[in-house]
Amino acid sequence: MAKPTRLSTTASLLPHSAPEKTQDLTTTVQVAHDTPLWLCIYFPKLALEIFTGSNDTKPAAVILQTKGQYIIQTTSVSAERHGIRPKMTLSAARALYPTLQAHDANPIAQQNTLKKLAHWAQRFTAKVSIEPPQSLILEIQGSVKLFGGVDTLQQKIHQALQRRWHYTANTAVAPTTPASLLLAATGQHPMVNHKTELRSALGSIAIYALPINKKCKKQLNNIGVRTLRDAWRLPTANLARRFGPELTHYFDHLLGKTPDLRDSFHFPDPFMADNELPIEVRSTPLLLIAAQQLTEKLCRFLHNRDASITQCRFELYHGKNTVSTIDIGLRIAARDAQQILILLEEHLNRIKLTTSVTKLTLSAQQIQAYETTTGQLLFEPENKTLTQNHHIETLLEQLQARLGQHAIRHITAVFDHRPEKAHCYLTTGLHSSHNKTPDHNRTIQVQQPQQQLPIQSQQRPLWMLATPERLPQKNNQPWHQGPVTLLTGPERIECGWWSDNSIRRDYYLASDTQGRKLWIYLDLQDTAQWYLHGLFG
Amino acid sequence: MNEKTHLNLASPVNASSVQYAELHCISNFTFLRGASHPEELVARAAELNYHAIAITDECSLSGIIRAHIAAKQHGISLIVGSELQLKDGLRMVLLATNRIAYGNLSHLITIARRNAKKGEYHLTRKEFIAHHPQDCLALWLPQSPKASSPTATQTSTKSEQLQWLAQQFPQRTWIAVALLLTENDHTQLQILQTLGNALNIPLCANGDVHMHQRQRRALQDTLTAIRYGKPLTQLGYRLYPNGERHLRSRQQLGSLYPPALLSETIRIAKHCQFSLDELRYQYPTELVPQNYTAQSWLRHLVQQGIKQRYPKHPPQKIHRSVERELTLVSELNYEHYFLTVHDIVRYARSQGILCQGRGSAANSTICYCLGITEVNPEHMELLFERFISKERNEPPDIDVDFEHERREEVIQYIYRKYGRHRAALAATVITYQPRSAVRDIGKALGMSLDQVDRLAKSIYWWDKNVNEQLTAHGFSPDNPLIQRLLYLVNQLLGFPRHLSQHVGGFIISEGELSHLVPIENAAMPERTVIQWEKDDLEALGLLKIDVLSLGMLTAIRKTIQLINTYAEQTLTFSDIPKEDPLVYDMIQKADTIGVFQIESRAQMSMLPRLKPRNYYDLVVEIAIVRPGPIQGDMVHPYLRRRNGDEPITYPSKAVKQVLQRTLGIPIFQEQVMQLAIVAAGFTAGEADQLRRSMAAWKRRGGLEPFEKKLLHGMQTRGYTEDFAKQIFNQIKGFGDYGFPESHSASFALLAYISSWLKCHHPAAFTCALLNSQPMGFYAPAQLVQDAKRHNVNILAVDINQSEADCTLEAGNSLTLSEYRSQHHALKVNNHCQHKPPQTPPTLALRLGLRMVKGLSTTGINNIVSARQQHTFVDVQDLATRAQLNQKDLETLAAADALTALSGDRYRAYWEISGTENKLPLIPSPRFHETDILLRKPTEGQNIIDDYASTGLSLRRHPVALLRKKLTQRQTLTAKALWQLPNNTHTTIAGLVIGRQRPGTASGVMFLTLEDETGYINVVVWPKVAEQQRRALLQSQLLSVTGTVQQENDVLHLIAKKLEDLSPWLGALTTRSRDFC
Repeated sequence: MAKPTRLSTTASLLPHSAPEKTQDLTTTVQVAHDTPLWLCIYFPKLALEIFTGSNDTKPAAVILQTKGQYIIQTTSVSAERHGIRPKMTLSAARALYPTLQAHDANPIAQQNTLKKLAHWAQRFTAKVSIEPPQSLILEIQGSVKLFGGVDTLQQKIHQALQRRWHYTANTAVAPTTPASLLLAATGQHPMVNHKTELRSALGSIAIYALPINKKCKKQLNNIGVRTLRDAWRLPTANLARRFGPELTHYFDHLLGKTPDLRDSFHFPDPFMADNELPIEVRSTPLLLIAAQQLTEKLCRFLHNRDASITQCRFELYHGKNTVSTIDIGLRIAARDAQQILILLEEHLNRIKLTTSVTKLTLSAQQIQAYETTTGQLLFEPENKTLTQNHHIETLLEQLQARLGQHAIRHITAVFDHRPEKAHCYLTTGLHSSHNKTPDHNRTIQVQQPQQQLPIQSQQRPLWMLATPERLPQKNNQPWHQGPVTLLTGPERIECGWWSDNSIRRDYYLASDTQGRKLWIYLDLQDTAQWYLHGLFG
Repeated sequence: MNEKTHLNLASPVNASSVQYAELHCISNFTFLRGASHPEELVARAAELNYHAIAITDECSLSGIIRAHIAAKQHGISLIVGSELQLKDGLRMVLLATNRIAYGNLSHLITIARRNAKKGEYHLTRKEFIAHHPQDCLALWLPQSPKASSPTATQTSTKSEQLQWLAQQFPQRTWIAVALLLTENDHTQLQILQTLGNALNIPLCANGDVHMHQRQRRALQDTLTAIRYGKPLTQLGYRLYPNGERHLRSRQQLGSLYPPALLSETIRIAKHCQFSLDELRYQYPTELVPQNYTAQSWLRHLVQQGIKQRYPKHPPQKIHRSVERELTLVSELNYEHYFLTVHDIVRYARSQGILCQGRGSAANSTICYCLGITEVNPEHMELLFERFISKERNEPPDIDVDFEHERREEVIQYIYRKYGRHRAALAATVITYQPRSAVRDIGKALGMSLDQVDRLAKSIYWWDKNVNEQLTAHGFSPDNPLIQRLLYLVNQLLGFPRHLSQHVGGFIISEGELSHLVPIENAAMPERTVIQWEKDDLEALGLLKIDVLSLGMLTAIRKTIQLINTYAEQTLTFSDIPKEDPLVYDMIQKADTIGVFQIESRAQMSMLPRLKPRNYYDLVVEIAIVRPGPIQGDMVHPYLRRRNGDEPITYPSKAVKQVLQRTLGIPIFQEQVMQLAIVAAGFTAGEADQLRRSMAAWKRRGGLEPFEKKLLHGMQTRGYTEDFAKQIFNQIKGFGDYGFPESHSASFALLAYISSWLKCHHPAAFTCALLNSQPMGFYAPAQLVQDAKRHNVNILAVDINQSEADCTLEAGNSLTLSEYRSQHHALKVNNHCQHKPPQTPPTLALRLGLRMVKGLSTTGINNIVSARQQHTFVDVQDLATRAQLNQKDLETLAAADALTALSGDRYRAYWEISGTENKLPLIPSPRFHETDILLRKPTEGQNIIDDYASTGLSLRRHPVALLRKKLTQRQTLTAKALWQLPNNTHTTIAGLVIGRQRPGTASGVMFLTLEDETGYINVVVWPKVAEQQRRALLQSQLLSVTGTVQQENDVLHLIAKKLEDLSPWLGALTTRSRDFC
């Protein structure tokens, strides 16, 4: 699950985040010895490049759906060459380039990519923070010496980026974070070392490039203020009176008059623990006791980080370097030791240990933020279905652990006139609605309202043949181990022309010489051939 | 073939022994259920030798006229009926036995429809009893209309329903049994038989027909999907299990149903003797005073009119034609029609609403005398008989145009006068067009919205090379999905989708209208429409009156009002001087921006070639620039003959009579029709049918039989094949937009009047046009630019000067009446002393507050009333006294209307953003801020902001600012272009103010560019357009390189290379008006 974990939340750069709020975060931040220096890496095409990489052979764009319209959000350079710009509607863009490739925006994937990038960037400095939606900010004062100067560092980062990631990126260095961000995003002055140089370096930046609200930008435009320099010529008090204090606060941050304190990024550590067993163990109960200690440790670890897992792995060391692995998968992200242990037990019962175990390890790689499921403390009746579902999910997990992933299927009625399509099997996993990301391309799937089954149409045979059996014909009559007598019918079914499975058939209830009731049909489609489709019990 | 091999349990039946009438059959006027046109159903029933067919659309009689026409054509009897579902579950079909039953059924449908919102109906048992459709027959439908749960209702409730219905229709109720090869047909029949026996109610067969042929099954399924708004794959049991709901052969029916049930249908059909031909229309009679007959009253009114029109003594000619026309009218009993139109026009006139009639009967002498038209019959040699023909027995057609801002008053008058139960608007059946069809079917087939959208867009070129177009848009034509889509789209095209209101066709009756035709609610509140459209009314010979709206009439009235504030003599619509040569000089130069009809680009390029010299030339001018004459290749021959480059010849004497007034070239719709009669031997009735088919052939086809007859008829009468083909091509062209002389005559009058006003009172005319927006072909910016070129002084919106509307100012702080007397004195002076005449001071046009985009009406009113005390001193004063909100203040600042208070736009914004919203109770000393360092807006910036806020700028043309840069690129001005010889290669640049892709021009795109010196017409051939799409479609400022073509004072630049220079404009937001 790709929710941003609380651990990586960063302070917002936007002016409307009140300064008091920012100061709350001082606890986790160590102020550098002398003035900090920030390097911003800005990925202008990240939203698109998470789909295409740096490969830009076909014009492509990322689209967002707003008010029933698809709006272009990010475009590839090749699409720009065809005149396609952000904020255009997709249809307008397609008028310019008919086969434009359109990807639905995926902010979650983008955020995850940014996290990966942040993790990677920690090789240059310990202090990396994520600036959604498409930037990273690195505090580099401490690393400058190590890497031999700001220039060299900046170059190194660029090279490393190119080698490893292939995302388009701009960088800029500045003594305040908003300034570094602004410089990187606008591609101006890749390096400003001192606060005193900020005014002149930023002065020509257009107001529309600032991360301030739209209304404010419009108002500034109205009075003829086009650049930061224009704005700085006006008295601060008058500006604040007209356009609110957020604007002037932002200017203060930008120029470093008020400190901007930020939280750095921590990639959640994976969990790993082991338990050397005092004796070689072969019995499941004993192993479980050993496992319990580890599991509880894991759960404490998760609790402390307000996190949860959907997967963990037990490794059983048998000595002589043989290891058996047991993967535990949870259907709902959790941190309940008991649940994990029950599942482990099911697995252990199934695999039957042949050699004894000397060491047990437990590891969990993908740690994610914990989401409280409702109704744990305050048990309300409305939640009943939810918890019931929860129970069913738990049961299914258990069954799957015992019988194997694909052993469980369920049958479901499908509302289709075609007899062979009137039911189907689903593996339970498919039926789970979790982890499903909404698909913008399709119309929203509304739950089918309860349809009444035609009462009398239930006269369908209990045994249906997987494939209808072709019946020989004698004297123009169907033959099934003897002549077949038609009893009732025809029931004509013509359906499915829109798919590869179009049928046109006349069904009859018939009996053969042995008195068996048959469900046979005459194929009207092209062969005029008789088939046996089912037998009544 | 399958039917043969199909084993039947029942014994084979001899088809000829089976007699059958289909009593339950819905057409595609039961929207998204029926999958065949009414005509198709009727034709198929006739083909299958049914005894009769009932069209029983659900709570609707919309499709019945079409069925009626088809039934007469195919010689099968048609039963009128309707399927109804009561809210309490009961379903039935009602059939009309006679005129009274029909009236009652129509009334019941009206009740049900008026009870629900547009497109739906609502009927309960209680209402049913209250509006009981006496004399109808009832068929009880045991099945639910949905495909699912055919037997969901329990037998007990069924029996209750049936008993209730039988109570309502004693001895007139049947159980309708539909055997559709479902599994439970047999059981179903048994249950119903038992029920019928128990209640002593007879059973009859029916087919629950939804389509005329089995082949429509896929379409019917698709319609179901569209109705549910779901893809087919998700519909399941909501689809019918098979395609049996079509008109089946009598043999099939005979093998399925017990004979008694089939013969019962004949018995029922024989009860239904009603035919729609019985509908007689009664005109409202209240318009005739006591002691008068309709005839004598009309004569009286006409006589009065003659006295008004010819105060001295009318020419003998007038008396003669009045007599002739009155005789014809009385022979055809059309007095009431003329009286009704007269009454509406009289009302409008009494309210000072300008109106002008047009259409087949409008240009008659009596209409001129009745004040329905201002077209003087003396100026026209239009024969009344040409429009009302005795043989054709076609009702007269008069459309009356009213001022667009005041038409609603006229409509409300009609409702008031006749009541809503007697007057209603005709419907317009909205049908599936390629785009909507692709969209709906694409969705039903489960394509993604984006895909559907892409496909629908590619349908622009639907007729030609579908496959190529599809490939170009990334679809494979071989893909089965695409093939299914195309197959279905072709079937769905032209299917009715919903009823909308006709633009103004009113039907007014003497009795309750609902007994003639069902009335239902329209989308607009307080509007009702009948279930028939214009063609249906015509087919039955019912009269309708078109109450239409026309923006130009509003503008003309406003111009005249303005002129009367300053002119010496009062001017009225009817005493505008006729045939003024100055006006025609202006028209010949194509100086016609803002003028009615002849202002479009195509018209403007024709004017210098045709050079209209009189009123009738204008009539021709208006009709010639239409698809008909263009496709029939009539334009060039006409021009050649007019210029004397080609002899005027006629293939025969008869043809000469028809074509003499247009130099032997057919230009009007009427001429083509008459040619069909005169040269191809059509009867009047056939010619009329041809006219009707002309309008529909693109959608439905059906011109082929006429083509043969026409070509053959003309050839046998000795005309050349070329001539015949030319005539036929023109007929096809009229399909798109048939333009009759009778309409052109009225339009030409308005074209002349508006030209006269523009020519003699350009300031007043522009002012009125601006005050009548939105209307016409040009945006305010172009109108103002044009006025400036005619030396009208335009003054900007000013908070202390502007009224709500645009106004005229005399200047020198004179009022308009002072101006009038001064002007008069000057004129007298000039007249007496034989000095060179002094030019009178021109009037200036002050733009009104209405030009400020986004300024609220309340804001405008507040400003105007607060200013009456005294003018505003500063922004704070304005905000306080006019109680303007921040948004209104901002729109004013944006429009640069606060210059008088603040200086420039930036300061105005700065000041308003500093105003306090709350009203100070005590006028406090104003907040004085230190002088701030705001820069001054540049000229370019000001122009950009002008356009953004008012859509026009009184400063320099934006292109003028870029001229230096353009000259460096060897770019010429529009004016300079005229100095170049033909075929010179050159470059120009301008704002794109119009893009047009006329349907007739096979993909050619016409652009109109504007620079500081004038307009440039650019022609972009398809190949160039395709290669340079982006520049073509996106540019606001466009540079075009191409060759000059100049001929007859018309200049075109044939584009070779297009370049988008829009970035030069920065944020300029002029929008071109795209007419595609």
